[in-house]
Amino acid sequence: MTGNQSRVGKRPVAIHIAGVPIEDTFAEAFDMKATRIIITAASAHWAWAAATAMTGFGTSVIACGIETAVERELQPFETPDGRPGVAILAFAVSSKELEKQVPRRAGQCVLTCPTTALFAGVEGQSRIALGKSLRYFGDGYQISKLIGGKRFWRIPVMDGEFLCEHDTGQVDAIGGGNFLLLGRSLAAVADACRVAAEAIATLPDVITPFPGGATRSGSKVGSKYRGLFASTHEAYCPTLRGLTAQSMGDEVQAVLEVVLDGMTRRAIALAMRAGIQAACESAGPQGLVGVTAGNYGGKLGRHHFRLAEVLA
Amino acid sequence: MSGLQLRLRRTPVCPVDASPLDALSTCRRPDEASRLELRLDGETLPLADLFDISATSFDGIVVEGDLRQFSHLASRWGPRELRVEGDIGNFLCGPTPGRRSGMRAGRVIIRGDAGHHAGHRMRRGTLILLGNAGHSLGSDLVAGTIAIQGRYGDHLAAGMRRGTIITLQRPRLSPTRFTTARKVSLGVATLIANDLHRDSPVHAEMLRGCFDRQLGDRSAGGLGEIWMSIE
Repeated sequence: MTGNQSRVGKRPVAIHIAGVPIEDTFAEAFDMKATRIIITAASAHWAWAAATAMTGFGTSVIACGIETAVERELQPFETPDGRPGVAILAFAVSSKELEKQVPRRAGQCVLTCPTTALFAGVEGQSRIALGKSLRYFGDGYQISKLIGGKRFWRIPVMDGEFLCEHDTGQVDAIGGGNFLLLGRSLAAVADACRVAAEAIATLPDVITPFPGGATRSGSKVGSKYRGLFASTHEAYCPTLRGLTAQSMGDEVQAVLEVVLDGMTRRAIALAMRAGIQAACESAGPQGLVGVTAGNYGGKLGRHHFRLAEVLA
Repeated sequence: MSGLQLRLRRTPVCPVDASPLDALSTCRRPDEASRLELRLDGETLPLADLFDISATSFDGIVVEGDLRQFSHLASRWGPRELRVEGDIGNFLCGPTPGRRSGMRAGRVIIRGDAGHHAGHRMRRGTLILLGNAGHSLGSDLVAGTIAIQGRYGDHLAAGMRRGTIITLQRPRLSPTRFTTARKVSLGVATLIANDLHRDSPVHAEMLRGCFDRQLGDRSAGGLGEIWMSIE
């Protein structure tokens, strides 16, 4: 890593990673509420099927209610019932929204999926209903069981019983960690994003909720249209070059953003570090013009991740 | 050390209502336990007159001795573990007269035999019987789990509404009151197997595979379960 006084866009460069300039800026993240749930099934196939359904349409709180994705696959020895499993993280801007979305998705995507069971994956004073809500599907034939101080519901279904923990914990978390990869070509930056997302996927306590871990529709706060509180970030849209003020140099042909939600500040910082390093080492200066981060001048969120610090 | 060990000094010759010992579930020091009282043959005695009480590193209550004269032990037991090293009398975990339900939380382990009506109207928690039991085990069971290793008398689970009784034997249950035994493999059994493994590995082993299940008591509108080894 080295630093110099050159510029990628408007901001000076703080350091270089694998020859790729890293802008002297910060990602601005904000407080969220989060939970973790564990889905198990007779095979990894069915656990993933339920997890994929449950995390579908969970990219952004702007319109999905929650941001949710698979945290990691779990081996049988890591799950409460000794079967293959998948851990899911879900984030929302409020407890109320999390309490609304999680039981709804669990009911439609996990209860319905063959052989699955559903467990809490995090402790917390504040609780989110799982079986507490879903038990009513049992129509009076549901059975409650208190095991080791935890309550479980057994709901009769056509393949046997759907076993579901009563509730899961809810904790304070951070959403909106991010970095932007500025590419010399769309192919180069898309590939760099894929590598970054793969590096982040190996880490605990963090998810990248957008498709494949990246988004092309980075947004700014507000819009010219009433009622829209986010709209396209024209400063990073290459097709508007010459028309609007740009935050990138002429050699940038495409920009993609990796957005991260994490259970802790440390989890996000480590994930940003892993993602940026992997992207830079993969694409190099031939593929990436630079790396920057999205912020709103510090007005939106209280968690600021300076790129130079997380990469130090 | 926050656990307590009670060693019976002499076996009473008359019945003892052991329900006041439920207060042990919140006792942390021997002097707290010493202040509890039991009625014995019309006389009220401090617990220290009947038991040697000491602290123990085990975070629960251990009672040692021949307790066959003690009835209604753990009748309203709280969220703690109670181990009995010896035999115990009737209505273990069952409610005292006038109450609707018995044990409501925690875990009771009997390393000996139990009398009649063990687990009667038990409401919640886990009762593990490593020895035998008398008649009417789990009668009118409201909920909770009873695991028994040994033999038991007649009227198993009569009137049970919910809850689970796990037995290594094949019980003789009325076909009009209980469903026929059907082979099942249940996810919840794995969790219960993990929970029972320390105290009763033989039950844990049974639950990790397939086992037979009967549901009842239909005469009470019950949805209780008897889990048993496959024949």
